[in-house]
Amino acid sequence: MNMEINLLPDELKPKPLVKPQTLMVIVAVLILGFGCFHFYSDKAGKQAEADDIQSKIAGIEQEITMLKTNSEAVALKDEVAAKQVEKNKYDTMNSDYETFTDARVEWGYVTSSVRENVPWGVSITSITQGGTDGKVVTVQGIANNFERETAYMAKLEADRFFSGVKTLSWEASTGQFSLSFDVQAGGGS
Amino acid sequence: MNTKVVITWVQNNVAITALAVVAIILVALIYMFFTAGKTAADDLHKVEQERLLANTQLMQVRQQYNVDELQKQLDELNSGIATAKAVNKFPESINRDQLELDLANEASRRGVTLVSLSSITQSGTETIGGNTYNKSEINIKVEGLLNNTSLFLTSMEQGDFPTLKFKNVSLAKASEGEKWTTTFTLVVLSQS
Repeated sequence: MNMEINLLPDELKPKPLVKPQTLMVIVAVLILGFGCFHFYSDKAGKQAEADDIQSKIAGIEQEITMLKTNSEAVALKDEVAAKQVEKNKYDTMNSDYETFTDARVEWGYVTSSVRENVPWGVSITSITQGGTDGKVVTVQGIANNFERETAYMAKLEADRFFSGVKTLSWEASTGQFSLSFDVQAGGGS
Repeated sequence: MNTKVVITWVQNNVAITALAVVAIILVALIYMFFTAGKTAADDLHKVEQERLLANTQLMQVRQQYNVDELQKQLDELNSGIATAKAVNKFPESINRDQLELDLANEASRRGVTLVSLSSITQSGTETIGGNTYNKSEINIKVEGLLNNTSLFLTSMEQGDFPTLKFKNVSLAKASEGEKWTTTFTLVVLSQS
């Protein structure tokens, strides 16, 4: 059995080129160095990308300013805005006119209908507009009897623009009566 | 005692010590670049959002300030205004002479007599749908058969003044004969 024995003192014995501990630290430093480079390049790349985008935004803002100061476009835009206001005015008036006609009482129709519906045995002496909104009509007249007056009321009630026909007064001795009814909005129009 | 041991160890392991110091510095640098990288990522996200916004604004402005598009809009509006103006019923002002002439002509045509006529007065405003219109009024008294009076009122309502209406209408039959006396206020609305 062979055994290798080195009898040299420690300081004269051959030493390894690099101690294992040193080698480990070197490897660790190299790994850390690589990590450092990785994080630096990542940060630098993002910064460069952000700077590039910033310069593009500046370009976009410049284009926006240029477009907004184009005198021809600005003049046209102002004209379009003014015309839009004018058109809105007419559109509103046309819509208001519908509201106006819907609420208007057509007095030609009302008086004509009041007259045409007078039955035999009834004569009328006055037609008067009343009510806060002007849509209540009061009719006065003379009837042969109360039955004739109610017949007149029924005929008025049958008119699709009249409603709420009621007797205000009836005097049997003279035959004088007074009745009223409401005219529907837009009645007769 | 401990310090002495450390100093001795360092003196015997200069290379490892130096490398350890480098490693510590590198760790510090990694931390610094890592946090700076996070900040850069946040900044990048922010500018990307800004670019999106700027691009959207640019598209909007390109559309808003497009001369061809604006000219097209203007043409359409002019056409729309012409149409809306043609159907508009509210006059800019009341032609008083025309109104009086219409009253006289329609009264004559329908066989009623114009008994009295007040001068046309501006009587404030009327609000329709939140908009205000000038109100011109004229008090009128006519005489005639009830049928003729109805026809006269209808003629006026369907005449040249579509924004015309009547208020305070009162018709009363004369004590003798078939004639009726009618009083009313004629109201015409115009643009304010």
